[in-house]
Amino acid sequence: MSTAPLDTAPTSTADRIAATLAHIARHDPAVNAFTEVLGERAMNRARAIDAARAAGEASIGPLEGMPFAVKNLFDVAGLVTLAGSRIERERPGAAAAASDATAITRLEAAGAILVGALNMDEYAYGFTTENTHYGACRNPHDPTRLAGGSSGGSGAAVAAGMVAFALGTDTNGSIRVPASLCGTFGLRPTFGRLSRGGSFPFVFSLDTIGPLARTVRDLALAYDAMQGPDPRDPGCTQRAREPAVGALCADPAANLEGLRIARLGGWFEEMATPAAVAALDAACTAIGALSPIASADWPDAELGRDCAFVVTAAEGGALHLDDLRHRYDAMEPHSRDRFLAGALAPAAWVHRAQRVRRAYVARVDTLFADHDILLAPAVPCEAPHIGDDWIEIRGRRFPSRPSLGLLTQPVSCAGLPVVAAPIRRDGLPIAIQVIAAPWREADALRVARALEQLGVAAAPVPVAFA
Amino acid sequence: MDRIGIEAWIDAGAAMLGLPVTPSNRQQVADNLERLAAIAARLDAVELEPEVEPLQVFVR
Repeated sequence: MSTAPLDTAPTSTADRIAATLAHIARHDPAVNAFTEVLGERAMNRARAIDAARAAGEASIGPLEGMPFAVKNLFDVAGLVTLAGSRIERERPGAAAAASDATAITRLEAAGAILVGALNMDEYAYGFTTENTHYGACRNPHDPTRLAGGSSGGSGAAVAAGMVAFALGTDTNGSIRVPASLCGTFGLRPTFGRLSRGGSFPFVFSLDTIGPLARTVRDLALAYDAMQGPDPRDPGCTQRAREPAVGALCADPAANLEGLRIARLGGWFEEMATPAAVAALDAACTAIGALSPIASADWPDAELGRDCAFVVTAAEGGALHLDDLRHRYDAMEPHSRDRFLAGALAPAAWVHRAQRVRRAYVARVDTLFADHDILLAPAVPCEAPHIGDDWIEIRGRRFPSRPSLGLLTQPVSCAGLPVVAAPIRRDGLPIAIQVIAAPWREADALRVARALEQLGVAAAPVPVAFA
Repeated sequence: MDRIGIEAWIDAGAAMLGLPVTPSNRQQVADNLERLAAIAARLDAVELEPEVEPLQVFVR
């Protein structure tokens, strides 16, 4: 393993971006993370930053010169927004996006530089990025294995050191699953915290956007730059920005100070392999040396997953009803029959799921009367091989594609902020979830930063990509 | 809803909505709908007060 190859001192922003583009050209064929590389746009932006600096502009922004890429469901001016599909590309009269998604605009206003669009599961319905149209995305730690999904390209591009950070979306775990399998940090914020303006939807009542990065500081910087109300997203909060970078402290004890931390058992251990439990053990041992760790039981985790399962299938099926009717054969074979079944779900099932979800969220929120942070595994297992149909958890076989979200769905169904923190270990990466109370992203980032400072969490780039 | 009910629902629903259920995908659609039906049955068994409203899109 090595540290991030893009973090060596550049002579100029243009040089740095040129090196980034060369790195992508050399290494992306091994992982298939990118569906579009925006060389000209990125170099123009880099030269503009260099010119502004030469003209005496004091500060370009906190993300100055940092290369990033986005899951290809975000609008990028001049590109057709694919959302992992063939249909969007072939749609009669398919037009390139006229403007960038809100998140991209805000990141570039903070000095970051967009270098490309990234592979994903079609219409975000999957945890594997085995995309039939654009090819499977491969895990940089073992290219025979999954990168996770649906933001698989985002996880792979960050893990392989091709960008400093990437944007993904997380409906049921689509940031946390690839972050865990690829060994990067990832943040799913509180539902409604970050604007989804200019992104292709999947499930309106569950969709969030967020960053993946190799350090907690980069994760927090990107998150901070994207905060703020946005009239383009009716689900975006009107709350004032609450920057998190300033809350990160210089030593781990300070980052843990004042936080009541608990480890989740029950469902979160029963649905985890020994590898996932060992990652949680390592994190708890390190934190436990500085701060007490209580035990907590998440109420009705399976019920939360059930709600998310029904709502996802039905909302997704309804959203794509017309394409199911007329372009079924052009849809992703891995997900089109799940969409079709969801389109046939009776309204009473969906209504019931959203009512149970209301009661579920109220019960989950009671946990935060006694705890500020909850720790749990992020995924049941290490990255499965591409094409594997089954995973085994404690002697039971589960279908691999939906089951990678067994531990993420109960959390996102409650709309809570979570940081996926990759735990250092021999072998393949695996992450834990650092879950905070609503609107307390900064608390989750502080604990993730403490784990990073303690040497327990890290996202080293594999040697082959250095 | 048992498998026979699932199959009947698929026939009726696909015809009503104009969805392409054919011999090549019927089994997969039925398997997925059966999984959803089992989950829906669990959700139906949860006791809820009548005033509990659906969550839908919410901003916390």
